[in-house]
Amino acid sequence: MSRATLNDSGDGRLIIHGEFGFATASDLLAQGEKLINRGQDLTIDLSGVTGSDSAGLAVMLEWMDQFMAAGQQLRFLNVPESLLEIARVSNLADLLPLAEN
Amino acid sequence: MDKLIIAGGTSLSGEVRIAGAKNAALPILAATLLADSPMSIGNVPHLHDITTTMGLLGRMGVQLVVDERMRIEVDANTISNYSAPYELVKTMRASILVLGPLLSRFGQADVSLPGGCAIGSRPVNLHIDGLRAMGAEIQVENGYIRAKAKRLKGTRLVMDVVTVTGTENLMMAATLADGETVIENAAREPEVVDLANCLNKMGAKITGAGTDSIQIEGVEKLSGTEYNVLPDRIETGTYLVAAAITGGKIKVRDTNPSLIDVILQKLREAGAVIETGKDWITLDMQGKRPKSVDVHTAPYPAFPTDMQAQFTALNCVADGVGIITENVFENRFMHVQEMQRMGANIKLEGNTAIITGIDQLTAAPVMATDLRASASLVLAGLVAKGETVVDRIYHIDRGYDCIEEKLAGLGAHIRRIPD
Repeated sequence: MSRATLNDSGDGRLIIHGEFGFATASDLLAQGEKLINRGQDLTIDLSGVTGSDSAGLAVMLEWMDQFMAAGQQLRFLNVPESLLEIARVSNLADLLPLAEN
Repeated sequence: MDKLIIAGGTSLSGEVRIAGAKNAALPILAATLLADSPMSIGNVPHLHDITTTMGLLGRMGVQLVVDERMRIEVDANTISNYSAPYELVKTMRASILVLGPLLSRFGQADVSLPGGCAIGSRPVNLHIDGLRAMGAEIQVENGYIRAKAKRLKGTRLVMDVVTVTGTENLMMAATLADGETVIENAAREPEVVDLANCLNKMGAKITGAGTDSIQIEGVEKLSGTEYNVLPDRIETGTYLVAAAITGGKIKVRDTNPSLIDVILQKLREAGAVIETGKDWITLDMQGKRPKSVDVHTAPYPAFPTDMQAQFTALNCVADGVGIITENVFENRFMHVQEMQRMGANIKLEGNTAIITGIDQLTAAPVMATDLRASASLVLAGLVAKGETVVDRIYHIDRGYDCIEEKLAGLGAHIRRIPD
């Protein structure tokens, strides 16, 4: 059973609630497919993330690929510092499109 | 290529945290291939070779996750191929460490032969000969070591020369072999002991690690466990020398003083006041100029070759004449020429450097040639008059986790200029 949800806030933001990592990555990707491909730019808000690992980072990269292929803009808001650190260690930090609060 | 710019003249002070040892983390990551359930490895340094190793394991189909505490969780049960390709091995010679585990657990391995090395030859024939003696069929063709075995058999292995990665590879291979393996003339380095401790925690039966004779009783299987890599003794020593060379006072945290007895002894000879606790070391030069020290490198527990260049830098500005003898690697004085460009008075005679200390070095653009040479040039820059530019610092990034941040935290005027 998923321990994370991707909720549409209605203002161009999707909010992740719960764990954002190995245990929930597949489910979040599946949830994302239903919500993401709607032909509009989006911000994904990670303020509700309770824990993360590099699988969460992999999901972010997959979403970035999907948006780039669709010619849409994606930004990430409130990325946890621990996830940014994993991105830095992986030399991926510069690739993440971060939104400012 | 990034550069480091160092404005010399500041005495270092403050505290610095030591990372896990790369030379322990790499074999332990390779050892995860032996486990039949997931492993969790902590205190892994944030270094390029670690990322490369994770990439190597990932290509094999091994599942890796980095968690929020930067622990690496590895599940080798998803492995789908047993190959270490040239494009990875050429960038990291330690890739050969997957040979023993792959062969021992999965019965096959294709590992590219590593290329040359700037600091001297590091033969892989001892790995191959040892595995053959344990019953493996090995062919070297098209630049690859192609190995097969049903189940390796324990035997007595006598190493012609002391080799750390050779000892580690054969020790890992022997854990799942049939019967007892004895490795004679084994490497005694703390990183070998750390690997043995990890393997024993996984269920291996290894005794004698840390001596020149290691006994391994083969077992049927190894299981995943949690393990924290030991602190990096060379990073510890490098920051202590950085403090000593600048006449500073620092505390090094999350380290293990017992790993660097001989380095501490040499620093005391240089005039440092040193105190130690279970996991910390303080060094205080009391503002004094260091005294010259003589150093002879040799395998552990003698003075490590990986600290030779740093003590060369120390002697450049020390009071007196210091003699450095390099007994481990050929061609490991490439930093000397760069230090001479900074005004150092060094005379090279074969494997010996005779260094007459001068009052102050002068900043110059210098080029890093290998990992420890790079570190020594940074140390020289800390005490040089003016701004030293150290080029080709990708070498230093291979062994030092966030070096400019850590030195800046100790008060050094150092910054990185990205390419």
